[in-house]
Amino acid sequence: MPRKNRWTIYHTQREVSFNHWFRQNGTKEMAAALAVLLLLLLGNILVVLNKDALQKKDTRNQPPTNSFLQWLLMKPSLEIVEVTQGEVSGIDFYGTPGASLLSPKAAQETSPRPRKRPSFTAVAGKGYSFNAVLKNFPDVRYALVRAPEGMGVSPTGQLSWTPTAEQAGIYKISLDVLPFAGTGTRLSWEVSVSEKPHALGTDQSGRDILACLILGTQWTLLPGLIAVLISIPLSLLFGGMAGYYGGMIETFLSHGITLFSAMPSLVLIFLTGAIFNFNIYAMMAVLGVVLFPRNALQIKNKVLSLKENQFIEAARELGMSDRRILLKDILWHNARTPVLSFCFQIMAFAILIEVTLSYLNLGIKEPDVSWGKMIFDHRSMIQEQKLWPLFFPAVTIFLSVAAFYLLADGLNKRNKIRGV
Amino acid sequence: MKRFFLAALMLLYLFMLTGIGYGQSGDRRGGDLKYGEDELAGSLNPYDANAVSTSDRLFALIYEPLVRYDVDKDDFIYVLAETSKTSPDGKKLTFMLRTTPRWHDDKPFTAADVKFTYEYIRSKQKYARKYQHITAILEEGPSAISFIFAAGQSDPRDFFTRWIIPKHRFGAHMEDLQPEPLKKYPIGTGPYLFGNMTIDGEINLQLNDRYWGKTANILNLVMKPQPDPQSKVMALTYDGIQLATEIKPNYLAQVAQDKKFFTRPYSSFSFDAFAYNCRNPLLSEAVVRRAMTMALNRKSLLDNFYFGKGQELAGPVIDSSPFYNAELRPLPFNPERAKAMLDSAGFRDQDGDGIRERITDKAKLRFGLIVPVEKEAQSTETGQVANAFKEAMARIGIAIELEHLNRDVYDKRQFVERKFDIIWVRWEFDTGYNVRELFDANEDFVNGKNFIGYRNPSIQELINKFIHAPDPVYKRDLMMAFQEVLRDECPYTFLYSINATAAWTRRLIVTSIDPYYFFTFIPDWYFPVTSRARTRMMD
Amino acid sequence: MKKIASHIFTTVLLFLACGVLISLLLSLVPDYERYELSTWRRFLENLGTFMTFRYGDAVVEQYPIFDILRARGVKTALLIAGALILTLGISIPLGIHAARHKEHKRARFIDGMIYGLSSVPILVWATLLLIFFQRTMDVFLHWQLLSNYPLGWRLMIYLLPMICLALGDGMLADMTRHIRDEAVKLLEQDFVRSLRARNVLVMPHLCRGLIPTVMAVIAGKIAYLFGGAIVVEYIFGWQGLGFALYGAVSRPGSKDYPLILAATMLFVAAALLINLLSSLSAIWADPRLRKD
Repeated sequence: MPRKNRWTIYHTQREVSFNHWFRQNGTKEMAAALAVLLLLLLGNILVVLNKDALQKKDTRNQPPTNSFLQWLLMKPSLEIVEVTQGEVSGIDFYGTPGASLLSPKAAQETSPRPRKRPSFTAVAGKGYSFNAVLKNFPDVRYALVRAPEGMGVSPTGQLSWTPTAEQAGIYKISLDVLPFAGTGTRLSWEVSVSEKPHALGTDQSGRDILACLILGTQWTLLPGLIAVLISIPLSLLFGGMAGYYGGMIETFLSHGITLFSAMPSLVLIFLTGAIFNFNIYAMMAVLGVVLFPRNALQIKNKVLSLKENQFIEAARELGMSDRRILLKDILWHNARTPVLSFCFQIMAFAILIEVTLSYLNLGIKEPDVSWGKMIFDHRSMIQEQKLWPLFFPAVTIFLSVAAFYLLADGLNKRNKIRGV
Repeated sequence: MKRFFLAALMLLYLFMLTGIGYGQSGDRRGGDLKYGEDELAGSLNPYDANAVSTSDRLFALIYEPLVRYDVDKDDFIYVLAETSKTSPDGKKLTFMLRTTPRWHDDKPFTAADVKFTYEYIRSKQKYARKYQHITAILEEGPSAISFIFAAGQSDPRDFFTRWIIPKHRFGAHMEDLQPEPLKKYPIGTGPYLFGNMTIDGEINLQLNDRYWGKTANILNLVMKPQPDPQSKVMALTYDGIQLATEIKPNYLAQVAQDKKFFTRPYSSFSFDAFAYNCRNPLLSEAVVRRAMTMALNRKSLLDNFYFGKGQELAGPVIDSSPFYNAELRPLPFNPERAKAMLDSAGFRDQDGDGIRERITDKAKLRFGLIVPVEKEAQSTETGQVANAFKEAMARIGIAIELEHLNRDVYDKRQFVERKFDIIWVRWEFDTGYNVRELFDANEDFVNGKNFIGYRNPSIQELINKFIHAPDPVYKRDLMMAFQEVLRDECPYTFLYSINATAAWTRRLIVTSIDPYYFFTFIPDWYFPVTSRARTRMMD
Repeated sequence: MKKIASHIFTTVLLFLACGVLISLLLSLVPDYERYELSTWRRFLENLGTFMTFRYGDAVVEQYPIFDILRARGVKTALLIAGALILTLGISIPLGIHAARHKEHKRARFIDGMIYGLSSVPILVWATLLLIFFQRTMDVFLHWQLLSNYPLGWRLMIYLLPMICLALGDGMLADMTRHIRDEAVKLLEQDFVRSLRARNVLVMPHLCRGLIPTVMAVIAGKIAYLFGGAIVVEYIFGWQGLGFALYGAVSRPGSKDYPLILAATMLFVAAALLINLLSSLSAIWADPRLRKD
């Protein structure tokens, strides 16, 4: 057997324990969730530092710049129409006398088709180019029918343009591709020009979607914290006292718990909103009240199970006051472990409630931005198939809620494993 | 033989001709129309407190007035009255009523119903003030009625465009007759009968066969409330409804592109504006208000947020009103000129914080802007318009703080407390279109229409002259001058009047739409035969 | 017996207490059209309406409130019952399977998937499914289009909102987790070994033991189910009680107080009933609790 020196053994032991720790139940997921949480925190900090810059407005409804995202989130807006050969004018698009030039038929494979889609976004100051390289027709002539100022097409089909800052807006481009014999094609699409590049596009007021996502993080942590601050003390109070004292107090407090668990949650939140002019913080406080029953029950059960322990008897014999026993021995030393898990569950639910309220137009209002409000504002874009203002907030909502739930669940599992 | 065949052919041809002629008039009868509205109808008694625009359109189907003002013809059309006669001193107006109309429960229509209607109206607090100048109502026989006024009126027919309600559906003291009060079971003389209202708020109407006028073609109407604009558009697309009375601007594009629908804009009898509180010492100066108006590009607001569906306005009068001053252009969009005006009026930015202050007393040009939050998609456009206003003002050195308030708080701040600097308003008018009250010093009280506290002697003089003006030409001149003064004084920054757009399936032929009541011309609408098989009656 | 009677008694007391609380909340809502009435006056008025059950007509729709409750409550009850059946139908087999094979990778994978599915808010599920059906099969599954579609799609119009309610907001995940935990505990007990030794089916006995847990989870989650019902009714156009509540509360101007009070108290009554059933089922399952 090879002889291991001390360093090796130490190193190996350390490695083993690290691997073991990492493969332990749920740690990988918890690490991912913590990363998401850090991102949310970072977003909050960015918002606090930089709010005005994030709310700057640019061209409205601009798609994302990445072509994959454009393929995924937009309806294919490249229009391909057959044109039959006729008069070679092509510049005057409206009211052409030779109307046979514009007989739109379903594009078939007998006419030139481009290999790639053009990009639907352009940034002022940067070049915009599109190479209409064709699939089946190498020998063609190009003509720009409709184009903004400054756009030109080379004889090889290279479309190029550098938009200036004043040219921000939406432009329609029509490019005719005409072989020397047979039917040609007219490619038409819209380009949205913005002053600055927007990686994820802009929403209907012109705000950058990434900036909107960052602005939305401010409603993920703080309102949830308020709900937590109301819910946890309430559940500790009700659950702890009900479990410890027993008798009349227990019945009374248990019924209090049942009372609040029977109130329909959203209705209470609506009513509070009606009272406080739909201020999100007030509604989160009520959410805390709505959510405390479940946690209170769990704490009560835990306290009940701990009450019969011998160390409690010992403490009582020593003459410690009831309050000290309850607060220090039971709650702080033993029953506090599920509390962190409760916190994360409450915060996840707080995000869900905020999204639901904003979707019903009862949550965050202009000029603030939240993820739920983005979904509400852009509901009509579903039909127009401009999905980017809906897709990204949905992804972030899902990630943050899942992160909080994973953390809560991971903590639960680890508490169970440790036997607490 | 040949002659026989020729004769037979001619007979066949004649037969076909008559067949076609018969088909064209009788064949139009049929079909069911389901249409969508934004909100529930509420009470179906026209003079109850909470009548909304949905119910206005329903009233046009069920009830009828004595006379109706036709916007296109710019004149009054007689409906339940046949003719009218004004006494020379303008104090007495006599209507000769038609004898053929019958109520939907088959009782005859008489002058007693008209008298009861106007007494009922006067007993309601909402209308009492407007109708207090009627001193007496005299029934002169079963089909003639006279109204006596306190002072001479130039064209008193203006006051008689109200819906006539049946006297026999009320008790001796004007109370509702249970178990079928008028607010739930309306009885009128119009082209459609009220069938029932389901618990979801859907209202079924049936064709009135015994209508005194031209019987309509569509057999059944169903009004479906569609509070969510998205589901309204979807219902239209998937044949849940065949007509939508209003499509919101951001859904309009997809409906207009769809070949299955016709869309038609109609003016909405309303205008949007930013109202300035003229009691504020800084805003009481007309030059400040004028500069703020000129710094705002109102046309771009219309194009960007309402897709251009509206008219830019120079004053409070919209273009479908007979008093519209078509020559008057709105104040131009010229921020440089606005800055120069503020400079020469003594508002400069001396401490470099970007906000101007008055040189004399260092009062800063910093105002709060109140914007109402509506329930549905409207809130996004209003908020965006307010944001654009804020940015435009920031460019000329005026700081604006936005405050978004729920509708009830907004109403209270505006009319009761009157505590605001600038407030976004949308004024909606009925066919009377009385804009004078908004700037009349006599309306400056709590819950009054002149909530901005605007007092201008020249405007007041014009208003007073208008009320007592004898002939319509003079009235028109007065209103032209009125609009010119308002445009220069800018108590409001008048923005635009948004067009509402209606959409309906191609299977329905709609001849014309009344801009206020919508369904006035429904007797002419019909479903062509080929399309009728596909419309179905709701279960 | 005494236990059961005391449970029923406390349920009635709680109902009354909820009524007082809701009346208080309602009277705190600012009402600008009747601002001359003080909060205390309005509280007494609401309390009076609640105690005497004389609700009268709804303000907007002019229908007697009990008719509205009956017509719309049926739809909401259908929605919630369907969602519960779906949830139970999925989570009971899954939970038991996970309890049996808890070390298996597949169980953990299913667990993770359920978590992922349940993290998606209800409204996202609803919108996604609605759009999916509209895009792929050209049907818009909204309640008002019920009469336009043949039987198969009509069933989907009924089914889809129940699926959304069952899937969203952590309902399925919580249920599966609790069932799994309880099933693990039950499977460790001795009676399972003896059943297996006698070659008797374990499943019915297992299910019987799970009933109290299931009822407890439902009782805990019923309040959130009502909230989810509001959202689902809004999106799918079901004219149910949740949608009526939402409309009544978000109405500008004077809210429809009798309707809000009546509908909320109906929800509270339903929730309290389910709580009662859950405690009764716990007593039934575990005879030790029958002793006082």
